[in-house]
Amino acid sequence: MKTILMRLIFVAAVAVAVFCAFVVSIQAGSDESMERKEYAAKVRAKYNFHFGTDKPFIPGSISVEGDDFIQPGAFPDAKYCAHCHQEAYSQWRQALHSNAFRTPFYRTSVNILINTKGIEFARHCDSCHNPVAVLAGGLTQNSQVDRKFDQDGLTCMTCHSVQSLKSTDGNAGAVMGVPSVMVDEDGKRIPGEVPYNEILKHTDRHSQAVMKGFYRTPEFCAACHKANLPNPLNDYKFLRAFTAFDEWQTSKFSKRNPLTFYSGDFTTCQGCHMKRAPNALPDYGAKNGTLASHRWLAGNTAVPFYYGFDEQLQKTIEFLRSNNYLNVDIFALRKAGSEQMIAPLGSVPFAIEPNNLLEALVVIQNKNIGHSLIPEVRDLYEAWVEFTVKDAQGKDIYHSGFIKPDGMLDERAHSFTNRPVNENGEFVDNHKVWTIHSVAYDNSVQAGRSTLVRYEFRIPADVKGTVTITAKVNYRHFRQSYLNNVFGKDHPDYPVVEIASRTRTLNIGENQPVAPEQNDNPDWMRWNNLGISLLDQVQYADAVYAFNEVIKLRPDYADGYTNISLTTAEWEKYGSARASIQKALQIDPNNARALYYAALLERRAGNTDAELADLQSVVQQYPESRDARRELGISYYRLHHYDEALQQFETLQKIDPDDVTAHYNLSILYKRMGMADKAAEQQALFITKKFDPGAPTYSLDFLRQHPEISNESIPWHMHTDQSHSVTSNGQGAQ
Amino acid sequence: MIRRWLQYAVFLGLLLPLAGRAENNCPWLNEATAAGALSGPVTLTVQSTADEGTICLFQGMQTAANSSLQIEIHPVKDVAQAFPVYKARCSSQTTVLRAIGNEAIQCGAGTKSVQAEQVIGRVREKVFLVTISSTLEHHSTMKKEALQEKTRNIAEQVAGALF
Repeated sequence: MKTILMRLIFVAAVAVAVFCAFVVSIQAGSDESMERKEYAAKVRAKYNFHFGTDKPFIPGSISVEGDDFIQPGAFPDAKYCAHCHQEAYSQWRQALHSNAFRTPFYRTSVNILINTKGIEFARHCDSCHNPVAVLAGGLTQNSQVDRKFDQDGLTCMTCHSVQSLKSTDGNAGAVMGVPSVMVDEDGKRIPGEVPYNEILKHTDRHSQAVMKGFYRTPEFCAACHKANLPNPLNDYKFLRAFTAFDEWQTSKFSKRNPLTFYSGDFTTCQGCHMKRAPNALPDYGAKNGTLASHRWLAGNTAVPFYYGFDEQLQKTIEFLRSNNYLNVDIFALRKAGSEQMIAPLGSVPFAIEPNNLLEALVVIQNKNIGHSLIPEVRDLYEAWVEFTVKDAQGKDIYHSGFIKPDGMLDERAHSFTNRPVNENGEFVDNHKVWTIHSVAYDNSVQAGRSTLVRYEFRIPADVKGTVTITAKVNYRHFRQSYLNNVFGKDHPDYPVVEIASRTRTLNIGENQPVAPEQNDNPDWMRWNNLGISLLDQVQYADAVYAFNEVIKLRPDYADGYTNISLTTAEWEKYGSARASIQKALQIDPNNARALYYAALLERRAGNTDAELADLQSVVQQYPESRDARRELGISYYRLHHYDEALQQFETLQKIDPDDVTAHYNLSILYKRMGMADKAAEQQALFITKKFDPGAPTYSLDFLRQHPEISNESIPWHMHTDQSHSVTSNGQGAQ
Repeated sequence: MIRRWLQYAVFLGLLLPLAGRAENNCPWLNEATAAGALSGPVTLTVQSTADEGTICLFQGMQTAANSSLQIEIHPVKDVAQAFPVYKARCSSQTTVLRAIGNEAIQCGAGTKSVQAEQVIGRVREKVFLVTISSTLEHHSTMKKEALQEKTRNIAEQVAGALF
């Protein structure tokens, strides 16, 4: 009896203890949510709801669970994480994400926006650069948010609190959860900091709170590495700002695009920018002694240079020079007055004499970058070709792409940049993105493509010995005029990094073929890259010639014929195009790339069944191909197969939410199917995203006033210091 | 009649302080951040200087100590000439700071009864001085190293706002 009583008392005591613990946990949770409610109410009372009370974070796309402001203290400090993750913390502290807000390079341009239009517009920028400030309601006039978190920018618990992604719209298109480093036994997230020993007892529950499978996908990076300038920001229209994600998706590394010129292994953004490496400092997140890099090495040398983060700077420079990202090929020489190219240079014998006027064709290939050169904010970054011709004593015969004494780049250098302009045709300096209305030119090289840069120079009449020609691609983060805007003119020289280069030494007189260097492409690829460059420069005849040289060297190369086909199709020589694509399909009948271009030719010839079959095959092989989905949608639409057309365009819109063709066709299809609201929505999106036909006038105004740039805007331009005169018969420069 | 006008005048006179009360904000730092640095609520006064500069003075409202955070901003025409004059305000050895403004130094600014740390720096043609002082020297949040760190952090905020 006594034993039963004791047992009953024991059970009752346990039950009371469990109940108390339950009440305490509920209370703690209630305390947390009450704290947030009180905080949010305080912010709301004075917040500037310029864009609507239901859109507190517009023009940014970020949102947070609970749909309300959240106190900054809800985000554990990075130093809290550093207790167990010393390596990750050490890397992150030197990397761009932690410094995303505080750097003067960012503050200069966002301050202009704040002082010009108002702090509420900076929610667009800070949604990615300082999301804690945005979600805490700090971006409002007379904010009463303690901004001590600013120095941490994208702190650990911003990325590691993202619960889901909002398609691939960009502009911080993610849903942040209430930060949590631990879930309970039932998988429910526990807000705030948790004692370290609790985490160590349940590391699986820690992982569940701070890791999601999609963190390892490019779509996660796309939340911020894709940006647009929406109408609420610029009072104009939707403009694409940049999209490293879309560029990756169309690169060979995504395996989602059948139309790439070359193929490669599947590689995500993280695969290049978060490579695993041995950890020097203790880190519980390391596996087998390696940690996925939290340095996110890329091109930014300016931030580590400014902050004195020497290790980050050194590793950034190593990264830029590694991996054969670019190929520089001094592909050919041509003597003035001759149509004949000496090409591929180094593979054929040739002779040059003193006083020869020579043209050098330099092909720069974006070989292994998963996005464009230069990606993202290319109006501020500077990559260019430095081309030198020197005599045997090292004296310059010709030099393009030098840095002037004031630190500015030679205006006539070939630069992989763009020029955004405003509605007055003026260059938009200082990253005042809300004023951009057009882009006067854009010399970036997309992933997998090549560009041809032409130089003309004269061998001196009294030259003796050899002549050395060198082409380098240099990179500087940022361009000098932007650094001057940030600091004034008295600042140290910022690093210039040579990414890739090639030098050839020419004998005056006879030159024999030489062995290729380690990074040289094989000759067939050299011709192929020339062909790609000429195609992009609308030099169709020369492009076809180059692609034919590829086929001579590789008669089994289906893509060689496909390249001729797409070139001649663009040239509107459809008979030749058809003949070439048939040859490609004879070599490789199931080749998706060839089938795609074949389909377009079939459409032109009115062979609808063949067109449909080809595109269906492409979509089957590459279900995430934008181009294939788009064209198949058009094919179905033309056949009045509206349900099938709708399916294609809806799928296309999932792949690319900003595809203008999808908006256009969906607006028509929805209307035909009686879905008026959806039709109106797509129509509105089409109107804001479609090209502004007035935009080229702004570009032309700019180019008229800047002849040194207008030369660069012509795809087939020549870099020369030779003066040319027009002959009396009007044949033009020779 | 006169009595009525007198009543109106008194009434208007009472309203004047309300009509004349202007927004009192520091352009480079908000009160919440200053309060965080001084570990308690603050009052703010903002005044202009003869050289078209501005001084923001945040004063801690804790009764146990006098703490303050002062931000001075001065436009200068000749940086090479003007900046050393401001640097001469240091009352102790200076430490060159990296990555605050174009350039910045840290030094003491205290006296026998008040300990203070300051950062003197520059963003383009504007000189800034950030000084945090406290009589509460034995409190952990106001020890010398803590004061130095707070001053650096605030200086970084101010420089960022000036860029």
